[in-house]
Amino acid sequence: MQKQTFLKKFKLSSGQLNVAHDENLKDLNTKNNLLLHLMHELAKAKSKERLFSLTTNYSLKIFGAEVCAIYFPNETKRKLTAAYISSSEAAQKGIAEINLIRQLPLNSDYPLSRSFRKKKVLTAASEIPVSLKKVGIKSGIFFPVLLKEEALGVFALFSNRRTSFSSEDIKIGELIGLHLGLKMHNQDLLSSVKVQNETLELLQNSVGEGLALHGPDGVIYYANRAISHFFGNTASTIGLRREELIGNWDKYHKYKATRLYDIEEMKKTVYEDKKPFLGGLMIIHSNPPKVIEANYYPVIKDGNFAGMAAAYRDVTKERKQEQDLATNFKRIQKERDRWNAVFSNVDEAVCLIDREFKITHMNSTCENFSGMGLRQVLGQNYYKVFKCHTGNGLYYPDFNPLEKILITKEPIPYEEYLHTNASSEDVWVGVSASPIKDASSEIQEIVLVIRDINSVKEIEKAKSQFVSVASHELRTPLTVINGYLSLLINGDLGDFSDSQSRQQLREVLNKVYNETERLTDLVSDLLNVSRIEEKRVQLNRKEYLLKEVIDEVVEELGYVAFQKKVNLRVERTNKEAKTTAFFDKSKIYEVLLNLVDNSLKFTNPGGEVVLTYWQEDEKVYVAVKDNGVGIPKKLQSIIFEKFQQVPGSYLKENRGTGLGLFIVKSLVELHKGHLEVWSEPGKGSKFTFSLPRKFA
Amino acid sequence: MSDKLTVLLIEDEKEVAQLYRLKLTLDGYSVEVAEDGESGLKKALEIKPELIFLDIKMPGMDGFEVLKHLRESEVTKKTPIVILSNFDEQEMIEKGLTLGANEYLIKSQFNPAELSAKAKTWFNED
Repeated sequence: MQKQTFLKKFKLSSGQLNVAHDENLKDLNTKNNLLLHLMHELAKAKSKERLFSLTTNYSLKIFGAEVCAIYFPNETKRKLTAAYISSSEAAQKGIAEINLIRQLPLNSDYPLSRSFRKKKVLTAASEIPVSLKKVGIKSGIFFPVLLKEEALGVFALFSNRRTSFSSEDIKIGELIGLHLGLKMHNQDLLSSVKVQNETLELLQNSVGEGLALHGPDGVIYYANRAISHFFGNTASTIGLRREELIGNWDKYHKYKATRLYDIEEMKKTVYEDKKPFLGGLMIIHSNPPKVIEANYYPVIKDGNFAGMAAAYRDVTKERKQEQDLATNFKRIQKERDRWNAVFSNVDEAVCLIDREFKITHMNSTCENFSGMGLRQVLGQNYYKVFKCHTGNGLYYPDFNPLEKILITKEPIPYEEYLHTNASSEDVWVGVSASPIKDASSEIQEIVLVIRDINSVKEIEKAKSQFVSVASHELRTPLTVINGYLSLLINGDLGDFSDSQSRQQLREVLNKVYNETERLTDLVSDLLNVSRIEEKRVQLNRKEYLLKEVIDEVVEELGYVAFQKKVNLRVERTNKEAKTTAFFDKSKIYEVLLNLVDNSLKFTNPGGEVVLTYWQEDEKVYVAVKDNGVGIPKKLQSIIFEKFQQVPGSYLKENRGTGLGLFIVKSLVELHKGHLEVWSEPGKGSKFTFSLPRKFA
Repeated sequence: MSDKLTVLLIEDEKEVAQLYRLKLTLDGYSVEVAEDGESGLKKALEIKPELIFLDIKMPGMDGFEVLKHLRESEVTKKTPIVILSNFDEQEMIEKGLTLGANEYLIKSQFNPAELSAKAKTWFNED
């Protein structure tokens, strides 16, 4: 029970306590032998605890003492405290009392304290505490534990003999005290170095970087654990030559490596130039692959080159991010290029404006449209660049067709208005506007697509003009028919009882009949024009003799010519009679009928209309020539347009629909042929058209 | 003959001119016809008609031009001029009235009797 308390109090193991009874020690008879053994053991001791236990236990034997203890000053330096106490078997019977000497004031008169202060060996006999006396202790001797003239503590021996320490004992004690001081110092040094090493190792193994030190010969003499993480090698890399580590990578490591830098250049930089080589990259083909950045530094020790420090960093993530970024950037760039191409190549003018209608961007079509360069218009109000108006004098801000987009936030599908261009011309534009909204649905910009619809508007205008003229032309015969019929009904033309009024009736009916004929022709021509303009005319082409169609036309109009006393004839030889071409017979018949009919109309009695035709290269030509009134030069270019007639008194008798030549020209051109006119007022006219012989 | 009121018909459509001439003559007017703008203008200044019916679409000088000249001349400045045309576009009607025509009639909507009645109203106003 007492032993247990003792053990507990001094935190000692029972083995340590029993060292004194070690069988081996029985053979060591002499003090010197014991001392030598102690010195030997101390040399191997790796902790202070071991130093103390060895010292105290051996001392019990060497000195034949009952109790041996080692004291050191406490932190406050006011007390000496027993760091270790050993006692003989006999003394252990009164172990409880030994506790009482565990600590004592540093400044007390007790020889133990004085021994520390004076750094001297002191003995005690009468001063033995009562508690020790109770267990039979009669004397004590105290040796200072010294290091370089400095007292570290006290090594104390208590004996049950009154005077048991010889001068030899004192010398041995002094030696032990001195040796212990030295050993303790060594232990301190050792542990501080160990702590330093541990800290350093902790640091090196905690960092993510792989670190290796190569000697001047290139052999690795230090490598931290992270190295293996990088290169996947399981064996230690220490002792490997640089060439082995780097040069024969695949042999020594689990994975293949591809270096992305010049190893020779690296060696030269670090080993010869003694400069850092930074940012070398290598790919380790692990799964997934890793990208390692390698930095190499020369190691300079005491001014001399001592090898190379290598630091490896896993930059896989950064590289991937970089690569992703680059890929994304490329993709975005490609996308942007594509949109730019679309943006700058569309026929529509595209313009971007902000909430204040200031221009932020426009494409080249828009630049052309505005007559200004992008730089000139950037930041300018849209309405300043594009002077939009309604046509009746309303301009911005009174006319602001885009304003509603800011309120409704909805696109404006299409609106038409006028825009005064850079040359001060009014141009019809069709504008679509779409808002570009941000995440909170606020309008950031507005995209405007502006189309030049001037040509469309012109076509529309031409169409409505055509309708206007056409209805005018239709109303004219209707006016005559309606007028005469109303006269007949009202009895203005008499009761037809006499031959004179019956004659007048016949004349009136004849006029009405002529006007209905004219109306029929007009309606038929209008339908033809409409078919031509809508490209609904189908050609049924076959190979025909030109002679056939020409003879048919001459036969058809022979009576008209005869009545008008105009000589209508065809000039041809046998050779020409065999000329053929591919054409739609009914259409070419119509062409020729129109041309001959025109010539007859504008040729005075006694004149002639001559038809000729011939073949030249791969074309056939047909000409209708008259010696009629002719066409003034300035009008020759417009006679092929719709509703254009040559003014002049002769027209009154020779009224047509005003559509004939337009239809003729269109039909010839549908055959990929060509129609031209020669005319001289007073001398006559000649219309010539060509047709390709073969149907390609 | 001299007590008859003279109507000048400037009209290039021969059949239309004949039709109107027939009815107006039957109704007791002295009718003169000009078949184009130039001769119409010349005739108007020459015969000083009491009323002019004027067509618009004519080869050469059109009705509007004739009207302009007629209104510029002291002789015909105040002569009633009725445009008689088969164009019924609003802008043409407005143009005619702006240039000084007293009335604009659509031919196909007026038969000869109605035209004669119109003429009568103009003479009654005189």
